[in-house]
Amino acid sequence: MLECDIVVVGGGHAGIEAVTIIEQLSLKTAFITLDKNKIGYPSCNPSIGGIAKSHLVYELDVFGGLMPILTDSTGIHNKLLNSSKGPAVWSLRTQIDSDDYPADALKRISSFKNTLIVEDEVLRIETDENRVTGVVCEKSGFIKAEAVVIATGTFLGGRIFIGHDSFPAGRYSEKNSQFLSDSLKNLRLSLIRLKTGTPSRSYRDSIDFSKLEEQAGEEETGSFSVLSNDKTRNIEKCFIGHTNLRTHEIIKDNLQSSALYSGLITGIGPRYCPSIEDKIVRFAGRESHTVFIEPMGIESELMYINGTSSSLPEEIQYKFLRTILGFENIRFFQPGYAIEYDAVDTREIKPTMETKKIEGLYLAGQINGTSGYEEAAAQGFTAGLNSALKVLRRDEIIFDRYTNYIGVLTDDLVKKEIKEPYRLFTSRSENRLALRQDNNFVRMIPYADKVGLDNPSLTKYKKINEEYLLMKTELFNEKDELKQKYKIFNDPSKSFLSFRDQFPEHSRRALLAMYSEIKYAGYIERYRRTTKRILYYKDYEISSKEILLSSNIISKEAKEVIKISDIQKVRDLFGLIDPSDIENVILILKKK
Amino acid sequence: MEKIETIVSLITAHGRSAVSVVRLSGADAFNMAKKLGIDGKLEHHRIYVRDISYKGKHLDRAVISVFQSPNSYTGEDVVEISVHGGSISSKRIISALIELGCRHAQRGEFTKRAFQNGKMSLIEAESVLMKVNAMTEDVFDSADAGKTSLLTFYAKSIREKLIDLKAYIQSSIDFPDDVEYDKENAKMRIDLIVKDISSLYEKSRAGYVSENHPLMIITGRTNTGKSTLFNLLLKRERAIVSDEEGTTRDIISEWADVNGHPIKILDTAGIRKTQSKAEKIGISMLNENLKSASLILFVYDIEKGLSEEEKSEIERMKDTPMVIAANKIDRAKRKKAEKEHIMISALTGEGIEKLEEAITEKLHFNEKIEITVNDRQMHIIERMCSVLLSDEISVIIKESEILDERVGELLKEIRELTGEILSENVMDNIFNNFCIGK
Repeated sequence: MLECDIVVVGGGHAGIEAVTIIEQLSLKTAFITLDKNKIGYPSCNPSIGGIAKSHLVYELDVFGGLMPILTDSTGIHNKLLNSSKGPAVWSLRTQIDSDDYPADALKRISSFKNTLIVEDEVLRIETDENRVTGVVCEKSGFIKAEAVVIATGTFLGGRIFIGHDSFPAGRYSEKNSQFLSDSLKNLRLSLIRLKTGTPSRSYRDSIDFSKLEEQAGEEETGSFSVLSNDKTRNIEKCFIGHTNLRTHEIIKDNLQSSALYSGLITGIGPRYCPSIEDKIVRFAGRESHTVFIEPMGIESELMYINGTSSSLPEEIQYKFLRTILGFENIRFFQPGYAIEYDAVDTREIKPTMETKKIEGLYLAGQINGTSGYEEAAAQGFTAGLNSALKVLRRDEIIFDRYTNYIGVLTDDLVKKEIKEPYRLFTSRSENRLALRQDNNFVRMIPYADKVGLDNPSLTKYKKINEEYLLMKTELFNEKDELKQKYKIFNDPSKSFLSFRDQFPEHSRRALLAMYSEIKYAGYIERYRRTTKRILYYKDYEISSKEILLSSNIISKEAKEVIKISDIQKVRDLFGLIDPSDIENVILILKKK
Repeated sequence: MEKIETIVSLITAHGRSAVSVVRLSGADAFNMAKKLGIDGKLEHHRIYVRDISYKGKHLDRAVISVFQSPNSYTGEDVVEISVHGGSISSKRIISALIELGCRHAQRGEFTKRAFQNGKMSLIEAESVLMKVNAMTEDVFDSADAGKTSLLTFYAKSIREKLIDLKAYIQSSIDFPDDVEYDKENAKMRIDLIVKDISSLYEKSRAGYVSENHPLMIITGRTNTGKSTLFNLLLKRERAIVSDEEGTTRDIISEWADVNGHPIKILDTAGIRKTQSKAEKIGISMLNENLKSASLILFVYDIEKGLSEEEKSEIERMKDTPMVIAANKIDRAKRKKAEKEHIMISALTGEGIEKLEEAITEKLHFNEKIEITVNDRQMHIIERMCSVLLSDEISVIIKESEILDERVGELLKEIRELTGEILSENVMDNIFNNFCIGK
């Protein structure tokens, strides 16, 4: 019988980050996956990052997470989104080589001293008096563990839909996990059904690129991992095409054969990543939608047709895609499809990702109703970290939403009812200007120190942080205000490059963080005051809702939320109502 | 939830009058009334004529009006008892009710309850205050229900535009692949919002009336006829007038109706070199008041002409809008004043219309009052004006994440203006300004 400290189930982006942090805490882990060559395989689009998602990747980098390192090392095309706006919303997005990424992931994880990769299927979670004792696998039998992290993505009760056809699968041509889904139900966890979709993978040589708009990669975007020294690779191109009225006509005429619209699919799909059918129905007035054509890898003969996710029958997918300029002769390696899967109602979990009912059982990724690799990775990290802390009999660590996006994500998940796959946005944060890619180290080093981590990324960030603090004492006074003589730096027309020229001795990362800090100084100061106060009183008891509901200083919107929410402490209100309302709640409670 | 206390107060003026009305509001209002010997069932919207008594003693014969919750002024059960005027009858009834367990209503408490019970919005509650305190007909009319919702209407229309803009910015930040951020588009929306805010500001300025606003200070050298002019503007004798220099030593103020606009006028001790102690205090108080003045009315004696000291006085106060009146033209018929000086005779009233016109014009009161705002509302509207300053817009617009913050600030101000959120002391402030009983 195999015995270990923690079992991590699922080799996706959540699973990878879970084992990576557990490895750093030197606990023995069994990393169970159906196919080890598919560890970290991008099930959907071949890119990492993007708005708010990149912020998560940067946060993980401070903890020595693998996602930033793997993305940089297998990146083939980079773009800094929102670069025409201010640095708070800059977002790096990297196209990755979808073959190299899993290969590199496997190589790195194989070198982990305490992690054993097990190719197997988990049939059952074993418990004793509502405490996890291990898992039962098809081939390996019982594996004993103190904690279990489940990160099974769309594999849990997964079912693929293409037109009128449907069949059980975890991904196209990969088997799903049905037994595990039943096991969760037996543990009395309530499950919901969600849906997502993916477009076709088409052959590169079947597309006429001369008719499409080319989108080259950008230089000087910076890298995700601090260890990559902000060097990136741009060796592939992306392309842009457009649907037209003819395309829309064909889709409209065939809606009844779309699994989504024929009523076959009951799960709810993501509003923010709609299928092409959804776009045609919901935005009936639009004459064209953009299609992004992305390479699956350097040597790959396949292209990802972003923006055309569909559950129409294969022949209809052919028919509508071939109306698009450049796609006249397109051929699929695999058609687009919709997939329905089981997710756990997140009111079942704590912000540590542990289930409330079963001690030692942690859930991460799509099983919690999220979409996106980065969202999965952040949860995998949180679950992995807290499962390890539990085994080590140490205090749990909860990320707070006012200083980091991991906190925004995990806080939202446990508090808000998930009705559709959850995706992170910068607008989900109340402190957008303070939660940036560039100051990831300032925000996350305190957490890394609390865990007691030591890894090459963190070491490097600490050096950068020293530089940053040195600059800060030089430029700011004790009251955290920019000194008079440096007010010239607060000129909004001043670009980062010109700021950088003033301090040639400093590193790019320290400078960029400083540059942004100066730019947003006034706003950040205001956030900081509010945030400090509400975090200080986060454990204040709310003895009665009545005094809050009868107060005039709390907004109507907030009262509506307070009325229906289960709130015991001030922190239960985080994310549900505006920070200024929370400040007033504290005021009322203190008065009493 | 604790039981709502029943409150009681006289709601008509104190002193001699034909009728006095005592109002009771709260969960126990009907019971309390019954304890005054009023038998039988009290029905909503009925009027009863009954003898009332307490502890076996007959108090008065009263007319009793009944309003059942929620269809009453406060939204609670309300009983209004009309008895003989003068202080005796109402006082006895109120003492009896307090002995029975009612509490004396605090300033503005009936209206505060109406607001808390959702019977009226904050702006409506504030307009009740304005109406009760209205100094002129124009103010009363503009505080009328239909017109106050005009302030709400303007605020809501700005809010809608802000929300639209915010949605646009948010989607361009979070979906840059799909929603291109078009600066021209954003600029157009901002311009409209800024225009709306400044128009709201202009309208509010014309109808901004509060305890100390608009304030006009009459000043000038001693014995130039300031107090005579003060009385004339007030249309009654308020200040003591004499030929003796320095008659007015302290500062007196009164509200006057100037072409329909309420203006608080302050009469001051004149300026002269030799000063008594009382005068010195008066002068230093004048300097304090100058800071909050909307307008200075500088008066000089045309017979003597404008002296060098007077010229330097005028120069010293040049930061505040000023109207200069050349007084005593009855005594110096042939003298000519400078063109912008208004020639008047406070004694005969000659030129007074021209002076009043000049005053209202200088205070930008050329428009009729459309909306009336109080201090609280005016301060919020002033703050709103400074959130998107025109010279900053071209810079902010490039960085939509900063623009988003500013829009958020404006939305917060609007929520405060419409009374959706309030700070506790703001609440107390508003309702403490009510006379007791309203």
